[in-house]
Amino acid sequence: MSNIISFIQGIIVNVTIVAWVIFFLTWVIGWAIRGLPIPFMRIKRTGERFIEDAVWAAFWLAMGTTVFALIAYIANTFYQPLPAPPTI
Amino acid sequence: MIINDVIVIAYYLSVLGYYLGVLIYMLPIPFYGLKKWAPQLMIDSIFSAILIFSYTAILYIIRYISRIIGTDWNAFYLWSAKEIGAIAGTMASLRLIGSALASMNLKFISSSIISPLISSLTYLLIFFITLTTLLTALRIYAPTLIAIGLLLHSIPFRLSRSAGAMIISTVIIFSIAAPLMPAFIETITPSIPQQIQYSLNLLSSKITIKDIVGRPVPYAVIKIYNKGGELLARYLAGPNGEIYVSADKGIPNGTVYWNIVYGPYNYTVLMNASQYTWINRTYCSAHISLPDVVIVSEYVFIKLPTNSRVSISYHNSSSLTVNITGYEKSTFYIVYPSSIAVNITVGSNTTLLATYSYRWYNISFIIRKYDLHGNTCLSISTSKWIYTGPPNVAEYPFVNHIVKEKISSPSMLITPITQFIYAVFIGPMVYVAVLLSSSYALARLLGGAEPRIARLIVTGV
Repeated sequence: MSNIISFIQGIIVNVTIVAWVIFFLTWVIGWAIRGLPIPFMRIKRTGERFIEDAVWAAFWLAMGTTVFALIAYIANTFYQPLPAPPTI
Repeated sequence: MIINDVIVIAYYLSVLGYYLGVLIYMLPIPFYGLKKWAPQLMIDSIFSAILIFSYTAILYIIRYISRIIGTDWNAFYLWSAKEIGAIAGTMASLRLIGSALASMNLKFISSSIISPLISSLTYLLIFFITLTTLLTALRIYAPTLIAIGLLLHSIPFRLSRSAGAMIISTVIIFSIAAPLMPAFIETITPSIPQQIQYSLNLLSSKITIKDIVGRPVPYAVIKIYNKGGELLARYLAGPNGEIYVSADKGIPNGTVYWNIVYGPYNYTVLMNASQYTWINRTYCSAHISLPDVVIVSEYVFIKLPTNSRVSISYHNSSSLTVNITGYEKSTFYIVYPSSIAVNITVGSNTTLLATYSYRWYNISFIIRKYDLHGNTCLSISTSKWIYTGPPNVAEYPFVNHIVKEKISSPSMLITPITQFIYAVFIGPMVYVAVLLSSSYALARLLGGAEPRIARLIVTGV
């Protein structure tokens, strides 16, 4: 069982690293497309959207641990033992 | 321990799903068909994580709601045991009727009606026990199953999200509501099915017939009549005055007349449940003492006057001396088969009034009627003993009587079975279908069950 857990943890770490790398790549590609000296606004808008997506994704990537910590905190806070049912 | 590991794996899978979503979000490609997975993956993962952290809460909610609506697994098991017992009892009764039919040379009825009924009851029993086992498994493995459901639910890309949601919802709904099945079936059943056994009212028994001093009366015949004078059963005692009536023959339970016939002698007694010695609910022993008979040897006996007093001394198994004290002007009889030579010595106060002959089945009796004034002493010894054997009485088991009645109205046989089918097949099926559709609705709430999966589970196509 612990093998599977560490395997998944490894994947998560790899995915995170790849995600950061891709963030920089997307950031660069996005700016490169946006800054192209061409008059095609559609292509330029694609570059703009790349930058936008990459920034948002970077934000959620940075917030990842926080998000799950928050879920754990909320679930534990809201799990209060319910009152005993009324007895006749 | 396994549950814990499964929960941890599920958690990490949901984290993985989240980061995969983020990764796809970042990809520098303009294919929005792929990119639309990104927010989906992130939201699904967050929802899975919420469910995983609510694992204890889910188990608590199951217990809490069960307590509120009065779920009682013990009552459910008692009900299922009662139903299984009733079906098994009915099967035994049907087998009994089948064997009685076979003994009455009506085997074709047994094979055309009884056998299909028994096999349908067998299938019913298999179905019912399987269902009970399945529900028990759901109850016992609820925590494990919910953990597995969470694991399936949190696998990224919604690969098994529907299955996970369905498992979680099924376990929740069935754990809470399955034990209420008896109440549901009771509500929709017009009347509670009765065992045929009860309507048969049949007992197995050991009957002992003895004379006034407790000596066995060999080869006596018992005829059992109901209050209307209808013959219900006829049995022949063995040489030791005992009759073993097995469950496949039976005696009627209830108030009936027992008529003991021994040659020309006839004695009737009203029997009811209080006169039996009960060994269990369907087995009893009965002792009949003939109040005015002294057995000398096989078929040789003295019929005493009413309210007389006797003292007997036995010389050997076929010779005795009897002192009889009767009222003024009473009579007694000495009865013996014509094939046996009997030496009778009577004392004073006694005169031979008449001699009769009487035929009982294959045995010819000689009856000597004596007049008695006050008391007398008589000695009887038998000689030239010839084996007569038992009377050629055709036994008429009580089961045969019932079967005759039942066969005249086959609906009486079939109705209890249809009630069983209603109570332990259709009723549970309807209830399980209701619970499955509730589970499907809850599964959609938990993350969407594919209608296809639900349809597959419910209809199998």
